[in-house]
Amino acid sequence: MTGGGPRLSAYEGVAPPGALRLARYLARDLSGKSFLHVNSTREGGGVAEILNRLLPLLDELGIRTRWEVISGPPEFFVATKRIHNTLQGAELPFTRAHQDVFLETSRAAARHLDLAADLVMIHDPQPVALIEARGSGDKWIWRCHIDLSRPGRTTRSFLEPFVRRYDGAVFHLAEFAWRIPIPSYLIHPSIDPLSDKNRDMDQSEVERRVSALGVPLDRPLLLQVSRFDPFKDPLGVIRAFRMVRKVRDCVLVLAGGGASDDPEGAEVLARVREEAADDADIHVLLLPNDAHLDINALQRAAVVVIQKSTREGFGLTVAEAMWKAKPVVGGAVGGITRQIQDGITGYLVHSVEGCAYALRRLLNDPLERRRMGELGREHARRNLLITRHLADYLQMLRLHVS
Amino acid sequence: MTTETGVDRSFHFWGCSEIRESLGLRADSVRHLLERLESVPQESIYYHTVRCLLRHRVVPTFYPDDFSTWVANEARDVTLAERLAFHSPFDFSEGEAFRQHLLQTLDDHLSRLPGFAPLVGKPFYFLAGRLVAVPLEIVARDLESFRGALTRVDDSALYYHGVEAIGRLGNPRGDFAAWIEDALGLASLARRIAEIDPFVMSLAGVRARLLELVDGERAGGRV
Repeated sequence: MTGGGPRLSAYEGVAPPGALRLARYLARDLSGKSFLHVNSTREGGGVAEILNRLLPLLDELGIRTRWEVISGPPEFFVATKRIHNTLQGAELPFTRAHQDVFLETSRAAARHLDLAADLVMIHDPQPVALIEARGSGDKWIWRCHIDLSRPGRTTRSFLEPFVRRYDGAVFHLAEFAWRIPIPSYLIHPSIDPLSDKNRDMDQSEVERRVSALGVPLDRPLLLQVSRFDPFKDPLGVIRAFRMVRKVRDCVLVLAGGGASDDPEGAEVLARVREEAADDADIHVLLLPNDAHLDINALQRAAVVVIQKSTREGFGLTVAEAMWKAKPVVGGAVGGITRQIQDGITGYLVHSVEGCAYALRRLLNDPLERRRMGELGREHARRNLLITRHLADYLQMLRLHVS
Repeated sequence: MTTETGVDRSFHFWGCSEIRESLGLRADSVRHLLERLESVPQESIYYHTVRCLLRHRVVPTFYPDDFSTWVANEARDVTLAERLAFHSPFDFSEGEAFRQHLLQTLDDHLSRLPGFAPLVGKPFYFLAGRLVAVPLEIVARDLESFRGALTRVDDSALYYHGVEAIGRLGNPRGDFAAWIEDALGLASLARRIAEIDPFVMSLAGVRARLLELVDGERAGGRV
């Protein structure tokens, strides 16, 4: 694995005290072990972002890391998106045709991917069937990043026989964990405080970047950053914004990118644009996957950040906003409930009206915004940085291959 | 610090980190919690009542453990939460006695309720944890260097020496109090340190109280 990114020592003084010492200690006996990650995209989405930053740090600690990506025809990604949606509770058919293309593509991929490693970590459902190609002696872990609290029965029944063949599974939250006869670990994802998306940025750069996106800075800015996905409820955000704007002049930005494994994104984006048409105060921004600095600037320019999801694997945009000392209004689902301490670092909401009320309250109270923002940043520092994630992965390696 | 017999009497600070595991068990009501508590592994009860102190919250929850917090927030039974919150596992001679206390408290409370109370909020999920201890390469040889170290170590070291040492490592006084008494001969300070109750304060509060007590000792007074 090669890659850029900062050295571990760069996190000294940024990560909590002791975090780097812990990582180095955990890595002591793991030098030379190989650790392969497999997912379905190198760009877009939280998994790719984390791997891009985490793998070089594992390399630096002496772990031989590699990253493979499963690819396939468009029908494969239609099937995997259907798996994704139905696992998150959408009532849609997961047909025999979906299953066939999924298995055919997985088996073809297994023939050309190099899957040999001491520990293989398979991310999300797309490559889960690669377990059929495991080598003897290798340990395989399935890491699921999505909300599995209400999985569709057909899809779960299809996937579970594959998952049971792994040596362990990792879920974000206890309520997502399946009751299966393998160890089920709970590991939160993380953000990198030194990445372009989260690094410090001075006010002049913030203003320059946000203005270049055509977003005015003369009124309070409300922001949701996420893929254009129905579970992120962008239309609900627009409705909440329109309620708030009746009592307080403000601007809404809905910013997101696409991902190569998300064929539905364009459809949702079109619906959002249609809803926001003719409304000069709503800015819908489709940003390229490498627009990290623009996202950073938007989050810093916002007075409140929203993540009004109705299903959420974890929702790292919450952590990103907290790292920038912003109060966050989030849907009370999935990992958002583990990031926002309700009433302390932001508000957890259950409806459009709840979202609007929380926004109105925060827009009206700069002292509360500041207090929540500061506590949120500290919460993110202690719990949601990449250095903690690094230690978790090293513990997985120690448990399974040392 | 080495004694005449060559024994190292220095205090070596350790920190710790935990990886969590789901047991695949949940409780959908207070009665269900009672039934689960009859058979869940002791490690899970320990995780939810002791290891929970290791979690890093910027503002600690009012209730000291996961059971009473869940009963208050999700089952919305504050009376039961109060009854569960008062005793910590360290008030009992061993884990099974604490389990029996939890079962008796839940059973007694449920017997007084007029009927089945459905769950208002989210279910309770039973977890367990695996702890790895890490040497911090920070050493104290006297009260002065002990104080300095206390300001530098992370919260996990306070947990490891002040809580895990009692709960899992067989040192009922806790590592700090034991060392201060045995190596430094400061029995009074040791006793006051042993009285610090981590179940009713945050680890930041534990650190502040330790510093306060050590400073009081250095000043020759009592705190």
